[in-house]
Amino acid sequence: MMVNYAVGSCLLRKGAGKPFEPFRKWILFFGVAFNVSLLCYFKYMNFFIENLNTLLGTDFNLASIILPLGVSFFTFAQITFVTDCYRMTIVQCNLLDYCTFSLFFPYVVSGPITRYGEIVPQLRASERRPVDWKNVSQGLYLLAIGLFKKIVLADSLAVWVANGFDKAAHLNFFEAWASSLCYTMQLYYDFSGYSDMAIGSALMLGISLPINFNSPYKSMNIQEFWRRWHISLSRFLRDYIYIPLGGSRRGEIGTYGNIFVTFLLAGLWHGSGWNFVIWGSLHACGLMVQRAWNKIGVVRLPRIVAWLITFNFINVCWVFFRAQTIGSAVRILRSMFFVNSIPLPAFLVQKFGFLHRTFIIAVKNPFKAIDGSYEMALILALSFPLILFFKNAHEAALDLRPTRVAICFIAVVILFSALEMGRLTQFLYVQF
Amino acid sequence: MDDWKRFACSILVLVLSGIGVVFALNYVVDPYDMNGKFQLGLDKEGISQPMNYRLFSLARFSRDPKVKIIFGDSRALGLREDYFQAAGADNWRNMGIGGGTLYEEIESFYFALSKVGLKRAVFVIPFNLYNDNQRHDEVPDSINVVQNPGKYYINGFVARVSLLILYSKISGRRLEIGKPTMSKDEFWDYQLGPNMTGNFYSQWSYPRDLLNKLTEAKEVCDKRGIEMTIVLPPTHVDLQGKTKDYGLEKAYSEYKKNLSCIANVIDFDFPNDLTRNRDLFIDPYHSTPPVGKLIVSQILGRDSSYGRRYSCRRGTLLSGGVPLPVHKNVTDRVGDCAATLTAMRPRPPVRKN
Repeated sequence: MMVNYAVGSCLLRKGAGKPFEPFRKWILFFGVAFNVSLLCYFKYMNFFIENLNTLLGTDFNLASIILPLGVSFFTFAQITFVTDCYRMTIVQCNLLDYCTFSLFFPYVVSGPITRYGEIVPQLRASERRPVDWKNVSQGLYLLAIGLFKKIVLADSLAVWVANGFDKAAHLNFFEAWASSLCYTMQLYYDFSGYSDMAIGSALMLGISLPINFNSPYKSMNIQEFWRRWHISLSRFLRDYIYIPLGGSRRGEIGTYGNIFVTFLLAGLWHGSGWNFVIWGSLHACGLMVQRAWNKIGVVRLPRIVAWLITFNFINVCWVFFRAQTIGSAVRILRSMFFVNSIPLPAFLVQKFGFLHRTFIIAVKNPFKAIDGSYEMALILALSFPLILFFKNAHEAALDLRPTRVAICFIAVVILFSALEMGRLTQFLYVQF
Repeated sequence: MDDWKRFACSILVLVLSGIGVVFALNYVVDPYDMNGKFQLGLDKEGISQPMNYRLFSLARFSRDPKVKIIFGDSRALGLREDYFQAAGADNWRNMGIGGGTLYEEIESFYFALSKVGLKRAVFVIPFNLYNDNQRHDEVPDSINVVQNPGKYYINGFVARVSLLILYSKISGRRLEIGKPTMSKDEFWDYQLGPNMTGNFYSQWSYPRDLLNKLTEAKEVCDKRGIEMTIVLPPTHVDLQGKTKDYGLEKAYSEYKKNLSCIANVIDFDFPNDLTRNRDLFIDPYHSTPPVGKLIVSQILGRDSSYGRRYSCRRGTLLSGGVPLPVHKNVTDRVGDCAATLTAMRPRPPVRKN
């Protein structure tokens, strides 16, 4: 933090002679490189060593590095700070403001990735402002919805997701689809729930954070998805990587190259593993195909077809995001898309068993391997209308009215979620 | 007061009141005896244990740690602490978890290790847990609750258990939690059917990770002077035969060899008079109390008639097991053993336990 503050101060230094003016680019380069190298050390050192050992047959020991909490988000926030200082979009900066911006608790761990210029003016204004009870109420509402999404929905789905992805080699068609869909929903509820809580708790303090999720699974194409999913990251990628690389000003091929590099880095930012690289590359390919499609402008797909293609593409990409290895991701995808993993009822097995004995098996519960239950089916079934046809938490918070029904609703949701926080799955073991 | 202020305050008051009620309920009933402040004569164990074996086991150990511990699943629960006490062996604690996995056994071992200097660790490892696909692990969640009083007292699950205990007290009804409604024969067939055996065996996978974790645990035991033993509990021959149905015979024999490479093994899971006798089993997975007493006596080194002992050198059979001594029937033999254990109670332990 001290290094970043020093870099920022140098870049903002004005007055007599502007001593750092000739070196501003180098100072920026140093500031960005410093942050990126810290991130690389903490997050990618072992990934690098592992790959080096595999490639060269060496036997370097893995470093025992403890990843600092929220290092990825913190690093990106710092990069926005030094870059904004370079661009002079920050007019002035003092140490206290900078520290508050860097360590503001609602977003320090998992975002939204904010900019100095968005936060500090609000902090200053809030010093003189009385408590805004409407903000407090809306913040409470967002906190309640976020808690519910995270603790009740995401954590329930997490059990089936873990079962499914741990048993990747043994899933049938239904289990593989259920696992991937559960993860798609879990990730959304988990991360958007966190963001709602972060935004809600900041709002209660009178600070308005940028919205991070805007019903992403309603998207009709992959570009729209990235305008709705983890918006603060998309904004960072656009403003601090894609546009500085040249954006769409470098011709068609250059644009495709920039998209690819940006999403490759986005993939790596999410985690140190080849599966994240594949995930980022797939999204880059999706965006490039969509761009080419729009350029050619042959057919405009019906909305339902566009949604189905987009949603399923995202769902398939999440399999790589979640799987422990590329191999297990491929195994899950094989079960999802190969017909011989469909379990048949016993009477059909007798007729079609000759097709493939290994895969065609008689089961009563098609979700057995992941311990799937009615609860899972219910959450999944309710999730689709919930994410497609209802207002998201932010839209609903704007419509909030101080009624008794709203009081009871918010109190019950907070209470229920709070009591589920120390979740212990009830396990009624059968004893005779 | 403006509308929004009243709105926000009302929510906070309602939430805090709700949390206060739950806190008071869990604090007074205290189903897992975390504070032991109120003695209300409630039947806690009968309800709180089957509702959550993990929390029960860990909370009890935290409250009253012992230096000799049995880890395992429901088969381990059959090796009751009173059998050890009856044999004059004190300081034993059963940390069995109904429906537990080997991951949970190992997790419980490290939890116990963090609390007390252990002397003996007995891992009960049936073949169905020797499976990479049995990865279920809820012990960390329970540890989290045991170590954070706030998560215990403000906990919806604990509140449900508290209410069940109060309901049982007020209604005077003994709640039979988790007991099957089938007859023994029906339940036997169900346990051998594809639903149960398929769950364990159809997706069997070599447990490389588990073996590594067990090896690490053994290394820790060696460093700290803890005697580690692995017990392969008896299952009925009907169930043993299922390994053949699922093509797991080789895996089954390697299971014994691999485990014996890690620590001393006492194996009860092979065809003999005991495992052929249906009367000695509650269901194909679980043996009856007399068999539990027999296993306890062999863990204590007081008896070696049934369990085969394997050395740490590639599964070499050291003693016990086959051929079995001839008895009128195994029930008598087990009865003899139980009687021996009872008779031994006044005597001090003759071997290192």
